[in-house]
Amino acid sequence: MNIRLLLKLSFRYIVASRGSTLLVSFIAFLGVLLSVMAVLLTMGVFAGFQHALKEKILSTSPHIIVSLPIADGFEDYEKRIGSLKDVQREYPVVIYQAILSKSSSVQSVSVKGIRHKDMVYKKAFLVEGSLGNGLLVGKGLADIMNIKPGDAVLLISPMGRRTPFGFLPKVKEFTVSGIFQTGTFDQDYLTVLMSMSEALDFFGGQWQLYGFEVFLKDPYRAQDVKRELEEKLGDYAIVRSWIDLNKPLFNALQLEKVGIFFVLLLMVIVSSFNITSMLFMKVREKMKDIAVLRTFGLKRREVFFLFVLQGIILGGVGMLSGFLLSMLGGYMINEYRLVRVPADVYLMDHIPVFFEVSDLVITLAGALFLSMLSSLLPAHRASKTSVVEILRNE
Amino acid sequence: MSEAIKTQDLWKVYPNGTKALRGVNISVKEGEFCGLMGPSGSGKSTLLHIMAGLDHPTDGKVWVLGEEIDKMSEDQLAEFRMRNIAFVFQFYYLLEDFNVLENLLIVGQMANVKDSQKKAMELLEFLRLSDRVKHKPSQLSGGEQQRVALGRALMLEPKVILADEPTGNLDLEEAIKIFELFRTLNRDKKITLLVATHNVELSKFFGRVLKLRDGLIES
Repeated sequence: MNIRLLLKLSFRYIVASRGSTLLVSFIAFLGVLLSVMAVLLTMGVFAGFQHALKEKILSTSPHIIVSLPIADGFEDYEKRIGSLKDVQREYPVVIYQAILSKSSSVQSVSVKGIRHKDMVYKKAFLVEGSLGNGLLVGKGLADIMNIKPGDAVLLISPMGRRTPFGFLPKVKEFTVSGIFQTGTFDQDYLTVLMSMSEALDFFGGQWQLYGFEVFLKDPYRAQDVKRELEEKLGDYAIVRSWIDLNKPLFNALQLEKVGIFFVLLLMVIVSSFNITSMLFMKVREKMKDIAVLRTFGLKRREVFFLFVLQGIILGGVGMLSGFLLSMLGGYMINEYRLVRVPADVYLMDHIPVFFEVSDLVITLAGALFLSMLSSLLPAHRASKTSVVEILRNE
Repeated sequence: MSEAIKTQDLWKVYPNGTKALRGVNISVKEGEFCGLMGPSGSGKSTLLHIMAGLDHPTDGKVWVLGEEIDKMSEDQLAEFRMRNIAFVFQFYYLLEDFNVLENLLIVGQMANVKDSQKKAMELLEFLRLSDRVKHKPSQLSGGEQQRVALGRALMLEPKVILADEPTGNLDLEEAIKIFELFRTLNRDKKITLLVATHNVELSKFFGRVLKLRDGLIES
């Protein structure tokens, strides 16, 4: 089979389209272009959101959380965690549940006690005030309760004491020294940070949750490091990576992405029907040529390939144009931040576009495959046409 | 001299019952310039199509250059045609999207003819079409188009040329020019020619004339 010749004929037949065949060819090309572009950009926005979310989570939250049921051997655990080569830094935390009150406003919060020297890691997230010696309150919580640096607030611990007059919770007034913002809901709306010594002093040594917040050099190795930590720390330690903690969220996003992909794939399928129509017109238009080429020795399967190639070429050009325009569209969206979203809901003010190689490969290969598939029927018809019938009807 | 084309009791009955050929027996020797004459509907085109392997007989046998072609598969026929037989049509059937040179080159490339560009140019010069190389078929006269069609047929270096009313669309002057070319090809290149025509004025070019009437050979 002379592929070069078939390619030459196919190209020329597409380029030399006239009248309604030209119009249908253009519509088929446009259909593939737009559908490929729609799929790629939508997938790009979805992937971009996932990536941005991941980056946000990784830059503000610990990559691994180690929880310990008891405080025994706390320092030993810290040494063992810090000895792993993948660990960038780690610090212990104690976590209590408490009620934060200011004037008539009351909120349930998680109080995280961090060593004074480790507080420095939170400095990057301060939006108001300073680290100081007081409480650090999340921005969302501060907004709801109208808290500002320097304000006095009450912390109420449910772990109180029994008295002859009944159960009395512990209550103490603290000064707010700063407001922090990480961009994640649980930290900005539900967390209060304070020094570990003060937390232990106020809440006591019971009912708390001990643990470590671990940051890695490469957060994407979290699962490997998690396994290493599990081996190193034994059964008492509960080790959870950022992947475990956010699994439901990313699973939901992925499921949504897959769903949308299949819905959008229908667009590509429908647009490839245009190729079928165009090729049927083409077969009708080129009957005489088919007869002549067959007379001069072109085989039936070569006629078949001649029309399949036309479908592939048209679909391929549409696909490539769609791909290039998607890249351009992606660049514009990223450059001019065109997809804007409410920052308080989505943790970001715009969604970037990120093209994942797998999305590109599946979409482009799928479009090409569908173009080929849609050309099979007209190509079959062309190859089965009798030369004598054509010549007799001319 | 051996036979270039031979048929034995060739029948062709169409599905609607029309008997186009009714036991045709003919023999054309290699190097012969033979005419196939007869009125419209006498079965000339059907006979040529069967000889070219484009159509199958209902019954009977066909040999071309010693090979029985009625037993061949579609692919074998296509290959056989490409190597041995060229067909010239009444309506030229040039590829409208391609220029004169490309019309020749496409056939040359199909048959993997060596130096097809050089050969095509030589043929166009021989056919006095050197100044029409880049023209599209629609820009040529009928006679020129038929000469291009002949050039296309010659690209395959065929041993046999079958022509179905090749001058049916041309005036006598142009028709004579085409037949002179046929005669040159027959004489110089020893190509066997079987040409169907109903124009008696052209019969003088033939070495022998086969007359077909109602699907039967008369002489």
